[in-house]
Amino acid sequence: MLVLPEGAGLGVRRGLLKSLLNTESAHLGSMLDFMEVTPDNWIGTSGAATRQLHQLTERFPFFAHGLSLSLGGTDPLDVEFIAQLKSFLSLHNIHCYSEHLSYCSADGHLYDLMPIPFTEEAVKNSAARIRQVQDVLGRRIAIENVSYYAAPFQELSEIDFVNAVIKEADCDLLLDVNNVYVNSINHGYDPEKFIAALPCDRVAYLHIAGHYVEAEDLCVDTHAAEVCDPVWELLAFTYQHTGIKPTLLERDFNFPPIEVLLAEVQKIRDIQHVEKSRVS
Amino acid sequence: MSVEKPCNLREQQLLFANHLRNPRDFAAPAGIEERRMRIYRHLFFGNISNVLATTFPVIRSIMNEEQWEALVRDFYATHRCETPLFPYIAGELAEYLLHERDSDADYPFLGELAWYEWSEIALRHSDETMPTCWPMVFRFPVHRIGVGYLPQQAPATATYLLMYRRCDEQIKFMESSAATFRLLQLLDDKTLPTLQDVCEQLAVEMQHQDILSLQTMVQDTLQQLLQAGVINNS
Repeated sequence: MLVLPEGAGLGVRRGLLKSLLNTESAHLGSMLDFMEVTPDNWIGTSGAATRQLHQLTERFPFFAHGLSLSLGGTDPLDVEFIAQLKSFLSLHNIHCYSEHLSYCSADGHLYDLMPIPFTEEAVKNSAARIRQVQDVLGRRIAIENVSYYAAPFQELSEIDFVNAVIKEADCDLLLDVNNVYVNSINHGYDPEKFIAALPCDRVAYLHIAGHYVEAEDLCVDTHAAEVCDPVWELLAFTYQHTGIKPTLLERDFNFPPIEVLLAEVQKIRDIQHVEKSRVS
Repeated sequence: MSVEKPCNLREQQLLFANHLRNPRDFAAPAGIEERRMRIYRHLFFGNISNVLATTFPVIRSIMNEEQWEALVRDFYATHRCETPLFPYIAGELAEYLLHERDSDADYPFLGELAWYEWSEIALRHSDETMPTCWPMVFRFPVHRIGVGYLPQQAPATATYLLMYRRCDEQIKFMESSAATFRLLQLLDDKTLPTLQDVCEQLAVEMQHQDILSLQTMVQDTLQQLLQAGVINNS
Protein backbone atom coordinates (compact mmCIF):
# COMPACT_ATOMS: atom_id res chain seq x y z
CA MET A 1 0.00 0.00 0.00
CA LEU A 2 1.28 3.45 -0.86
CA VAL A 3 2.28 5.83 1.91
CA LEU A 4 -0.04 8.81 2.15
CA PRO A 5 0.25 12.08 4.07
CA GLU A 6 -1.23 11.56 7.52
CA GLY A 7 -3.67 13.77 9.35
CA ALA A 8 -6.65 15.74 8.13
CA GLY A 9 -7.56 17.66 5.01
CA LEU A 10 -10.19 19.64 3.14
CA GLY A 11 -11.72 19.23 -0.32
CA VAL A 12 -10.99 22.19 -2.60
CA ARG A 13 -14.00 23.63 -4.41
CA ARG A 14 -14.14 26.56 -6.80
CA GLY A 15 -16.15 28.46 -4.18
CA LEU A 16 -13.42 27.91 -1.58
CA LEU A 17 -10.40 28.84 -3.71
CA LYS A 18 -10.35 32.51 -2.88
CA SER A 19 -10.67 32.07 0.87
CA LEU A 20 -8.04 29.30 0.87
CA LEU A 21 -5.59 31.53 -0.99
CA ASN A 22 -6.42 34.52 1.20
CA THR A 23 -5.57 32.50 4.28
CA GLU A 24 -1.97 32.93 5.27
CA SER A 25 0.00 30.04 3.79
CA ALA A 26 1.78 29.03 6.99
CA HIS A 27 -1.49 29.05 8.92
CA LEU A 28 -3.18 26.98 6.22
CA GLY A 29 -0.27 24.57 6.22
CA SER A 30 -0.52 24.20 9.97
CA MET A 31 -4.26 23.49 9.77
CA LEU A 32 -4.38 21.18 6.72
CA ASP A 33 -2.15 18.18 6.11
CA PHE A 34 -3.48 17.68 2.60
CA MET A 35 -6.23 18.76 0.20
CA GLU A 36 -8.32 17.05 -2.42
CA VAL A 37 -9.42 18.13 -5.89
CA THR A 38 -11.94 16.79 -8.40
CA PRO A 39 -10.14 16.40 -11.75
CA ASP A 40 -13.44 16.33 -13.69
CA ASN A 41 -13.97 19.97 -12.68
CA TRP A 42 -10.54 21.11 -13.86
CA ILE A 43 -9.28 19.09 -16.81
CA GLY A 44 -9.41 21.22 -19.97
CA THR A 45 -9.77 24.51 -18.08
CA SER A 46 -7.55 27.56 -17.99
CA GLY A 47 -7.75 31.03 -16.52
CA ALA A 48 -7.40 32.60 -13.10
CA ALA A 49 -9.12 29.84 -11.11
CA THR A 50 -7.03 27.14 -12.75
CA ARG A 51 -3.86 29.07 -11.89
CA GLN A 52 -5.06 29.41 -8.31
CA LEU A 53 -5.51 25.64 -8.14
CA HIS A 54 -1.93 25.26 -9.35
CA GLN A 55 -0.75 27.60 -6.60
CA LEU A 56 -2.33 25.26 -4.07
CA THR A 57 -1.16 21.97 -5.59
CA GLU A 58 2.38 23.36 -5.76
CA ARG A 59 2.34 24.11 -2.04
CA PHE A 60 0.29 21.30 -0.47
CA PRO A 61 0.05 17.52 -0.76
CA PHE A 62 -3.02 16.69 -2.88
CA PHE A 63 -5.38 13.76 -3.38
CA ALA A 64 -7.79 13.60 -6.33
CA HIS A 65 -11.36 12.40 -6.18
CA GLY A 66 -13.19 11.75 -9.44
CA LEU A 67 -16.85 11.89 -10.38
CA SER A 68 -17.29 10.91 -14.02
CA LEU A 69 -15.39 7.69 -14.58
CA SER A 70 -18.52 5.55 -14.14
CA LEU A 71 -16.57 2.59 -12.75
CA GLY A 72 -19.74 0.61 -12.22
CA GLY A 73 -21.29 1.49 -15.56
CA THR A 74 -21.71 -0.39 -18.82
CA ASP A 75 -20.98 2.34 -21.38
CA PRO A 76 -17.45 1.75 -22.71
CA LEU A 77 -14.74 3.25 -20.46
CA ASP A 78 -13.69 6.65 -21.82
CA VAL A 79 -10.02 5.99 -22.65
CA GLU A 80 -9.37 9.56 -23.74
CA PHE A 81 -10.64 10.78 -20.37
CA ILE A 82 -8.46 8.27 -18.51
CA ALA A 83 -5.44 9.58 -20.44
CA GLN A 84 -6.39 13.13 -19.43
CA LEU A 85 -6.69 11.94 -15.82
CA LYS A 86 -3.26 10.40 -15.98
CA SER A 87 -1.72 13.71 -17.07
CA PHE A 88 -3.69 15.58 -14.41
CA LEU A 89 -2.50 13.25 -11.64
CA SER A 90 1.08 13.69 -12.75
CA LEU A 91 0.84 17.46 -13.31
CA HIS A 92 -0.53 18.07 -9.80
CA ASN A 93 1.60 15.42 -8.09
CA ILE A 94 -1.47 13.59 -6.77
CA HIS A 95 -0.74 11.17 -3.93
CA CYS A 96 -3.91 9.13 -4.22
CA TYR A 97 -6.68 8.98 -6.80
CA SER A 98 -10.15 7.83 -5.79
CA GLU A 99 -13.45 7.35 -7.61
CA HIS A 100 -16.94 6.29 -6.64
CA LEU A 101 -18.14 2.71 -6.67
CA SER A 102 -21.08 3.86 -8.72
CA TYR A 103 -22.08 4.70 -12.27
CA CYS A 104 -22.97 8.06 -13.74
CA SER A 105 -23.55 7.10 -17.35
CA ALA A 106 -25.81 4.71 -19.22
CA ASP A 107 -26.03 5.60 -22.89
CA GLY A 108 -24.52 9.02 -22.08
CA HIS A 109 -23.64 10.93 -18.91
CA LEU A 110 -26.17 11.98 -16.26
CA TYR A 111 -23.61 13.83 -14.08
CA ASP A 112 -24.65 12.27 -10.80
CA LEU A 113 -24.15 8.96 -9.01
CA MET A 114 -26.51 6.04 -9.54
CA PRO A 115 -26.64 2.94 -7.35
CA ILE A 116 -25.01 -0.10 -8.95
CA PRO A 117 -27.28 -3.14 -8.70
CA PHE A 118 -25.69 -5.29 -5.98
CA THR A 119 -25.28 -8.42 -8.13
CA GLU A 120 -22.52 -10.87 -9.05
CA GLU A 121 -22.60 -9.57 -12.62
CA ALA A 122 -22.03 -6.02 -11.38
CA VAL A 123 -19.14 -7.16 -9.14
CA LYS A 124 -17.38 -8.64 -12.19
CA ASN A 125 -18.17 -5.63 -14.36
CA SER A 126 -16.96 -3.04 -11.82
CA ALA A 127 -13.86 -5.02 -10.89
CA ALA A 128 -12.84 -5.48 -14.54
CA ARG A 129 -13.22 -1.75 -15.20
CA ILE A 130 -11.31 -0.77 -12.05
CA ARG A 131 -8.50 -3.12 -13.09
CA GLN A 132 -8.42 -1.59 -16.56
CA VAL A 133 -8.23 1.94 -15.10
CA GLN A 134 -5.47 0.87 -12.70
CA ASP A 135 -3.53 -0.65 -15.60
CA VAL A 136 -3.71 2.51 -17.70
CA LEU A 137 -2.99 4.87 -14.81
CA GLY A 138 -0.19 2.62 -13.63
CA ARG A 139 -1.31 2.93 -10.01
CA ARG A 140 -3.78 1.41 -7.60
CA ILE A 141 -6.89 3.53 -7.10
CA ALA A 142 -9.27 3.78 -4.16
CA ILE A 143 -13.00 3.30 -4.62
CA GLU A 144 -15.54 5.07 -2.43
CA ASN A 145 -18.58 3.46 -0.84
CA VAL A 146 -21.35 5.78 -2.05
CA SER A 147 -24.53 6.91 -0.39
CA TYR A 148 -27.62 5.40 -2.01
CA TYR A 149 -31.33 5.81 -1.51
CA ALA A 150 -32.53 2.71 -3.30
CA ALA A 151 -31.00 -0.67 -4.09
CA PRO A 152 -32.47 -1.74 -7.42
CA PHE A 153 -32.18 -5.39 -8.54
CA GLN A 154 -30.41 -6.29 -5.30
CA GLU A 155 -29.06 -9.84 -4.91
CA LEU A 156 -26.12 -9.23 -2.55
CA SER A 157 -25.86 -7.16 0.61
CA GLU A 158 -24.00 -3.88 0.26
CA ILE A 159 -21.10 -5.08 2.42
CA ASP A 160 -20.71 -8.28 0.39
CA PHE A 161 -20.84 -6.30 -2.84
CA VAL A 162 -18.21 -3.74 -1.75
CA ASN A 163 -15.89 -6.39 -0.33
CA ALA A 164 -16.19 -8.57 -3.43
CA VAL A 165 -15.30 -5.67 -5.73
CA ILE A 166 -12.26 -4.67 -3.63
CA LYS A 167 -11.04 -8.25 -3.63
CA GLU A 168 -11.62 -8.93 -7.31
CA ALA A 169 -10.29 -5.54 -8.50
CA ASP A 170 -7.35 -5.58 -6.08
CA CYS A 171 -7.97 -1.91 -5.32
CA ASP A 172 -8.04 0.29 -2.22
CA LEU A 173 -11.02 1.72 -0.39
CA LEU A 174 -11.88 5.34 0.27
CA LEU A 175 -14.14 4.82 3.25
CA ASP A 176 -16.75 7.55 3.45
CA VAL A 177 -17.88 7.47 7.06
CA ASN A 178 -20.83 9.79 6.48
CA ASN A 179 -22.03 7.55 3.65
CA VAL A 180 -21.94 4.53 5.96
CA TYR A 181 -24.00 6.47 8.48
CA VAL A 182 -26.49 7.76 5.88
CA ASN A 183 -26.85 4.30 4.34
CA SER A 184 -27.29 2.67 7.74
CA ILE A 185 -30.26 4.98 8.37
CA ASN A 186 -31.66 4.64 4.87
CA HIS A 187 -31.32 0.86 4.70
CA GLY A 188 -31.63 -0.05 8.35
CA TYR A 189 -28.31 -1.63 9.27
CA ASP A 190 -25.70 -1.25 11.99
CA PRO A 191 -23.00 1.17 10.76
CA GLU A 192 -20.37 -0.17 13.18
CA LYS A 193 -20.90 -3.74 12.01
CA PHE A 194 -20.59 -2.55 8.42
CA ILE A 195 -17.27 -0.81 9.10
CA ALA A 196 -15.96 -3.73 11.12
CA ALA A 197 -16.60 -6.02 8.13
CA LEU A 198 -14.49 -3.92 5.75
CA PRO A 199 -10.89 -4.92 4.96
CA CYS A 200 -8.98 -2.40 7.13
CA ASP A 201 -5.71 -3.08 5.30
CA ARG A 202 -7.31 -1.73 2.12
CA VAL A 203 -8.55 1.57 3.54
CA ALA A 204 -6.47 4.32 1.89
CA TYR A 205 -8.24 7.29 3.43
CA LEU A 206 -11.54 8.49 4.85
CA HIS A 207 -14.16 11.04 3.94
CA ILE A 208 -16.43 12.82 6.35
CA ALA A 209 -19.24 15.28 5.59
CA GLY A 210 -22.59 16.65 6.65
CA HIS A 211 -25.97 15.44 5.44
CA TYR A 212 -29.61 16.45 5.43
CA VAL A 213 -32.22 14.60 7.48
CA GLU A 214 -35.32 14.30 5.31
CA ALA A 215 -37.18 11.85 7.54
CA GLU A 216 -36.45 9.59 10.48
CA ASP A 217 -35.51 6.81 8.07
CA LEU A 218 -34.19 8.91 5.19
CA CYS A 219 -31.02 11.04 5.06
CA VAL A 220 -29.68 12.80 1.97
CA ASP A 221 -25.92 13.07 1.49
CA THR A 222 -25.79 16.78 0.64
CA HIS A 223 -22.31 17.89 1.79
CA ALA A 224 -24.04 21.14 2.65
CA ALA A 225 -24.02 21.09 6.44
CA GLU A 226 -21.65 20.56 9.34
CA VAL A 227 -20.77 17.04 10.42
CA CYS A 228 -23.26 15.74 13.01
CA ASP A 229 -22.37 14.09 16.33
CA PRO A 230 -23.26 10.48 15.40
CA VAL A 231 -20.91 10.74 12.40
CA TRP A 232 -18.09 12.09 14.60
CA GLU A 233 -18.68 9.12 16.91
CA LEU A 234 -18.62 6.75 13.93
CA LEU A 235 -15.31 8.31 12.82
CA ALA A 236 -13.80 7.57 16.25
CA PHE A 237 -15.10 4.01 15.98
CA THR A 238 -13.63 3.70 12.47
CA TYR A 239 -10.14 4.62 13.69
CA GLN A 240 -10.40 1.80 16.24
CA HIS A 241 -10.96 -0.64 13.38
CA THR A 242 -8.74 0.75 10.60
CA GLY A 243 -6.14 2.58 12.63
CA ILE A 244 -5.74 6.32 12.09
CA LYS A 245 -6.15 7.10 8.39
CA PRO A 246 -5.86 10.41 6.52
CA THR A 247 -9.31 11.95 6.73
CA LEU A 248 -10.83 14.61 4.53
CA LEU A 249 -13.72 16.95 5.18
CA GLU A 250 -16.03 17.45 2.20
CA ARG A 251 -18.13 20.57 1.89
CA ASP A 252 -19.81 21.38 -1.45
CA PHE A 253 -22.52 23.94 -0.67
CA ASN A 254 -23.50 26.53 1.96
CA PHE A 255 -19.90 27.45 2.62
CA PRO A 256 -19.31 28.96 6.07
CA PRO A 257 -16.26 31.20 6.67
CA ILE A 258 -13.05 29.26 6.03
CA GLU A 259 -12.16 29.38 9.74
CA VAL A 260 -15.31 27.38 10.52
CA LEU A 261 -14.25 24.69 8.07
CA LEU A 262 -10.71 24.69 9.43
CA ALA A 263 -12.15 24.24 12.92
CA GLU A 264 -14.08 21.23 11.67
CA VAL A 265 -10.87 19.83 10.20
CA GLN A 266 -9.25 20.43 13.59
CA LYS A 267 -11.97 18.31 15.15
CA ILE A 268 -10.84 15.42 12.92
CA ARG A 269 -7.33 15.89 14.28
CA ASP A 270 -8.62 15.97 17.85
CA ILE A 271 -10.34 12.62 17.33
CA GLN A 272 -7.17 11.24 15.75
CA HIS A 273 -5.23 12.49 18.76
CA VAL A 274 -7.59 10.76 21.19
CA GLU A 275 -7.24 7.52 19.25
CA LYS A 276 -3.44 7.89 19.26
CA SER A 277 -3.39 8.28 23.05
CA ARG A 278 -5.82 5.39 23.45
CA VAL A 279 -3.56 3.01 21.54
CA SER A 280 -0.26 4.11 23.09
CA MET B 1 -45.72 1.67 -20.43
CA SER B 2 -45.04 -1.88 -19.36
CA VAL B 3 -41.59 -2.89 -18.29
CA GLU B 4 -40.13 -6.33 -18.93
CA LYS B 5 -37.96 -7.63 -16.14
CA PRO B 6 -34.44 -6.58 -17.18
CA CYS B 7 -32.21 -9.61 -17.38
CA ASN B 8 -28.73 -8.13 -17.46
CA LEU B 9 -26.76 -5.31 -15.86
CA ARG B 10 -26.89 -3.10 -18.96
CA GLU B 11 -30.67 -3.30 -19.11
CA GLN B 12 -31.02 -2.73 -15.37
CA GLN B 13 -28.87 0.39 -15.54
CA LEU B 14 -30.64 1.75 -18.61
CA LEU B 15 -33.97 1.29 -16.88
CA PHE B 16 -32.80 3.27 -13.86
CA ALA B 17 -31.05 5.96 -15.90
CA ASN B 18 -33.85 6.41 -18.42
CA HIS B 19 -36.34 7.01 -15.65
CA LEU B 20 -34.12 9.74 -14.22
CA ARG B 21 -33.66 11.30 -17.66
CA ASN B 22 -37.30 11.15 -18.55
CA PRO B 23 -39.62 10.15 -15.71
CA ARG B 24 -42.70 10.99 -17.79
CA ASP B 25 -42.06 8.35 -20.44
CA PHE B 26 -40.01 5.78 -18.55
CA ALA B 27 -41.29 4.06 -15.43
CA ALA B 28 -39.04 3.57 -12.40
CA PRO B 29 -37.64 0.09 -11.79
CA ALA B 30 -40.25 -2.01 -10.00
CA GLY B 31 -40.19 -2.35 -6.24
CA ILE B 32 -38.50 0.92 -5.32
CA GLU B 33 -40.28 3.12 -2.83
CA GLU B 34 -41.53 6.26 -4.62
CA ARG B 35 -40.16 8.53 -1.87
CA ARG B 36 -36.65 7.24 -2.58
CA MET B 37 -36.93 7.48 -6.35
CA ARG B 38 -38.11 11.06 -5.86
CA ILE B 39 -34.87 11.90 -4.06
CA TYR B 40 -32.89 10.68 -7.07
CA ARG B 41 -35.08 12.60 -9.52
CA HIS B 42 -34.76 15.73 -7.43
CA LEU B 43 -30.97 15.47 -7.02
CA PHE B 44 -30.26 14.66 -10.67
CA PHE B 45 -32.52 17.28 -12.19
CA GLY B 46 -31.45 19.93 -9.66
CA ASN B 47 -27.81 19.23 -10.41
CA ILE B 48 -28.04 19.57 -14.18
CA SER B 49 -30.40 22.53 -13.96
CA ASN B 50 -27.99 24.40 -11.65
CA VAL B 51 -24.96 23.70 -13.82
CA LEU B 52 -26.75 24.98 -16.92
CA ALA B 53 -28.31 28.03 -15.24
CA THR B 54 -24.84 29.15 -14.14
CA THR B 55 -23.33 28.67 -17.58
CA PHE B 56 -26.21 30.21 -19.60
CA PRO B 57 -27.14 33.32 -17.58
CA VAL B 58 -28.77 35.10 -20.54
CA ILE B 59 -30.93 32.16 -21.64
CA ARG B 60 -31.91 31.58 -18.02
CA SER B 61 -32.83 35.26 -17.59
CA ILE B 62 -35.17 35.41 -20.60
CA MET B 63 -37.16 32.35 -19.55
CA ASN B 64 -39.61 31.97 -16.72
CA GLU B 65 -39.31 29.07 -14.29
CA GLU B 66 -41.65 26.88 -16.29
CA GLN B 67 -39.95 27.47 -19.66
CA TRP B 68 -36.53 26.86 -18.18
CA GLU B 69 -37.59 23.63 -16.51
CA ALA B 70 -39.20 22.39 -19.73
CA LEU B 71 -36.03 23.18 -21.66
CA VAL B 72 -33.72 21.40 -19.21
CA ARG B 73 -36.11 18.43 -19.01
CA ASP B 74 -36.18 18.02 -22.77
CA PHE B 75 -32.40 18.37 -22.99
CA TYR B 76 -31.85 15.80 -20.23
CA ALA B 77 -34.38 13.42 -21.75
CA THR B 78 -33.29 13.50 -25.38
CA HIS B 79 -29.66 14.61 -25.63
CA ARG B 80 -26.89 12.08 -25.05
CA CYS B 81 -24.09 13.84 -23.17
CA GLU B 82 -20.61 12.66 -24.04
CA THR B 83 -18.24 14.85 -22.05
CA PRO B 84 -17.14 13.60 -18.63
CA LEU B 85 -15.88 17.12 -17.82
CA PHE B 86 -18.19 19.39 -15.87
CA PRO B 87 -16.97 22.69 -17.38
CA TYR B 88 -17.87 21.30 -20.80
CA ILE B 89 -21.48 20.32 -20.04
CA ALA B 90 -22.46 23.74 -21.41
CA GLY B 91 -21.23 22.60 -24.82
CA GLU B 92 -23.71 19.73 -24.69
CA LEU B 93 -26.64 22.13 -24.23
CA ALA B 94 -25.35 24.38 -27.02
CA GLU B 95 -25.05 21.36 -29.31
CA TYR B 96 -28.58 20.27 -28.44
CA LEU B 97 -30.13 23.72 -28.94
CA LEU B 98 -28.31 24.33 -32.19
CA HIS B 99 -28.68 20.93 -33.85
CA GLU B 100 -31.24 18.76 -32.09
CA ARG B 101 -34.01 20.84 -30.57
CA ASP B 102 -37.13 21.30 -32.60
CA SER B 103 -39.73 23.41 -30.83
CA ASP B 104 -41.94 26.02 -32.47
CA ALA B 105 -42.48 27.66 -29.11
CA ASP B 106 -38.82 28.66 -28.82
CA TYR B 107 -37.39 32.04 -29.58
CA PRO B 108 -35.92 31.79 -33.09
CA PHE B 109 -32.51 32.92 -31.82
CA LEU B 110 -32.20 30.36 -29.01
CA GLY B 111 -29.67 28.08 -30.73
CA GLU B 112 -27.44 30.99 -31.73
CA LEU B 113 -27.66 32.54 -28.28
CA ALA B 114 -26.66 29.22 -26.70
CA TRP B 115 -23.71 28.99 -29.04
CA TYR B 116 -22.68 32.53 -28.18
CA GLU B 117 -22.87 31.91 -24.41
CA TRP B 118 -21.04 28.58 -24.71
CA SER B 119 -18.31 30.15 -26.89
CA GLU B 120 -17.51 32.57 -24.10
CA ILE B 121 -16.81 29.62 -21.78
CA ALA B 122 -14.94 27.67 -24.46
CA LEU B 123 -12.74 30.68 -25.25
CA ARG B 124 -11.99 31.13 -21.55
CA HIS B 125 -10.65 27.57 -21.43
CA SER B 126 -9.01 27.58 -24.84
CA ASP B 127 -5.33 26.69 -24.68
CA GLU B 128 -4.52 29.01 -27.58
CA THR B 129 -2.02 31.74 -26.83
CA MET B 130 -3.30 35.10 -25.71
CA PRO B 131 -4.75 37.26 -26.99
CA THR B 132 -7.09 34.97 -28.87
CA CYS B 133 -9.82 36.13 -31.21
CA TRP B 134 -12.71 34.10 -32.54
CA PRO B 135 -14.57 35.75 -35.43
CA MET B 136 -18.25 34.74 -35.33
CA VAL B 137 -21.30 35.34 -37.48
CA PHE B 138 -24.93 35.10 -36.39
CA ARG B 139 -28.34 35.70 -37.99
CA PHE B 140 -29.41 37.51 -34.82
CA PRO B 141 -27.54 40.19 -32.85
CA VAL B 142 -27.04 37.71 -30.00
CA HIS B 143 -24.87 40.08 -27.98
CA ARG B 144 -27.81 42.45 -27.49
CA ILE B 145 -30.38 39.84 -26.51
CA GLY B 146 -31.79 40.08 -23.01
CA VAL B 147 -35.14 40.60 -21.29
CA GLY B 148 -35.42 44.01 -23.00
CA TYR B 149 -34.71 42.74 -26.52
CA LEU B 150 -36.26 39.50 -27.74
CA PRO B 151 -36.48 39.67 -31.56
CA GLN B 152 -38.94 37.36 -33.27
CA GLN B 153 -37.36 37.87 -36.69
CA ALA B 154 -33.79 38.06 -37.79
CA PRO B 155 -32.68 41.45 -39.11
CA ALA B 156 -31.94 41.76 -42.84
CA THR B 157 -28.21 41.73 -42.26
CA ALA B 158 -26.10 39.24 -40.34
CA THR B 159 -24.29 40.10 -37.11
CA TYR B 160 -20.51 39.80 -37.15
CA LEU B 161 -18.81 39.61 -33.78
CA LEU B 162 -15.24 39.26 -32.69
CA MET B 163 -15.09 37.42 -29.39
CA TYR B 164 -11.64 37.74 -27.91
CA ARG B 165 -9.62 36.95 -24.84
CA ARG B 166 -7.29 39.74 -23.85
CA CYS B 167 -3.87 39.32 -22.27
CA ASP B 168 -5.47 39.99 -18.86
CA GLU B 169 -7.78 37.00 -19.56
CA GLN B 170 -10.91 39.16 -19.85
CA ILE B 171 -13.34 37.87 -22.46
CA LYS B 172 -14.70 40.72 -24.61
CA PHE B 173 -16.59 41.07 -27.84
CA MET B 174 -16.65 43.69 -30.54
CA GLU B 175 -19.14 44.27 -33.35
CA SER B 176 -17.47 43.79 -36.67
CA SER B 177 -18.14 43.54 -40.40
CA ALA B 178 -18.33 40.87 -43.06
CA ALA B 179 -15.01 42.07 -44.49
CA THR B 180 -13.15 41.95 -41.16
CA PHE B 181 -14.73 38.58 -40.34
CA ARG B 182 -13.45 37.21 -43.65
CA LEU B 183 -10.06 38.85 -43.21
CA LEU B 184 -9.55 37.14 -39.84
CA GLN B 185 -10.68 33.82 -41.30
CA LEU B 186 -8.16 34.15 -44.13
CA LEU B 187 -5.38 35.13 -41.72
CA ASP B 188 -5.94 31.75 -40.05
CA ASP B 189 -5.76 29.93 -43.40
CA LYS B 190 -2.45 28.05 -43.55
CA THR B 191 -2.54 28.00 -47.38
CA LEU B 192 -2.18 31.80 -47.34
CA PRO B 193 1.15 32.32 -45.57
CA THR B 194 1.69 36.06 -46.19
CA LEU B 195 -0.43 39.16 -45.70
CA GLN B 196 0.00 39.76 -49.42
CA ASP B 197 -1.62 36.37 -50.16
CA VAL B 198 -4.48 37.21 -47.81
CA CYS B 199 -5.06 40.59 -49.46
CA GLU B 200 -5.07 39.07 -52.93
CA GLN B 201 -7.61 36.44 -51.90
CA LEU B 202 -9.76 39.10 -50.22
CA ALA B 203 -9.57 41.29 -53.34
CA VAL B 204 -10.86 38.41 -55.46
CA GLU B 205 -13.68 37.59 -53.07
CA MET B 206 -14.75 41.22 -52.65
CA GLN B 207 -14.23 42.01 -56.33
CA HIS B 208 -11.98 44.83 -55.24
CA GLN B 209 -9.96 46.21 -58.16
CA ASP B 210 -7.53 48.45 -56.30
CA ILE B 211 -5.27 46.03 -54.41
CA LEU B 212 -3.14 48.84 -52.97
CA SER B 213 -6.03 50.61 -51.31
CA LEU B 214 -7.29 47.24 -50.03
CA GLN B 215 -3.89 46.56 -48.50
CA THR B 216 -3.98 49.93 -46.74
CA MET B 217 -7.47 49.17 -45.42
CA VAL B 218 -6.36 45.76 -44.18
CA GLN B 219 -3.32 47.23 -42.47
CA ASP B 220 -5.44 49.93 -40.80
CA THR B 221 -7.95 47.35 -39.61
CA LEU B 222 -5.25 45.08 -38.21
CA GLN B 223 -3.58 48.07 -36.51
CA GLN B 224 -6.87 48.99 -34.83
CA LEU B 225 -7.48 45.39 -33.69
CA LEU B 226 -3.93 45.18 -32.41
CA GLN B 227 -4.30 48.39 -30.43
CA ALA B 228 -7.59 47.21 -28.97
CA GLY B 229 -5.89 44.00 -27.83
CA VAL B 230 -8.10 41.82 -30.01
CA ILE B 231 -5.23 40.22 -31.90
CA ASN B 232 -1.51 39.87 -31.41
CA ASN B 233 1.45 40.52 -33.68
CA SER B 234 1.97 37.02 -34.99
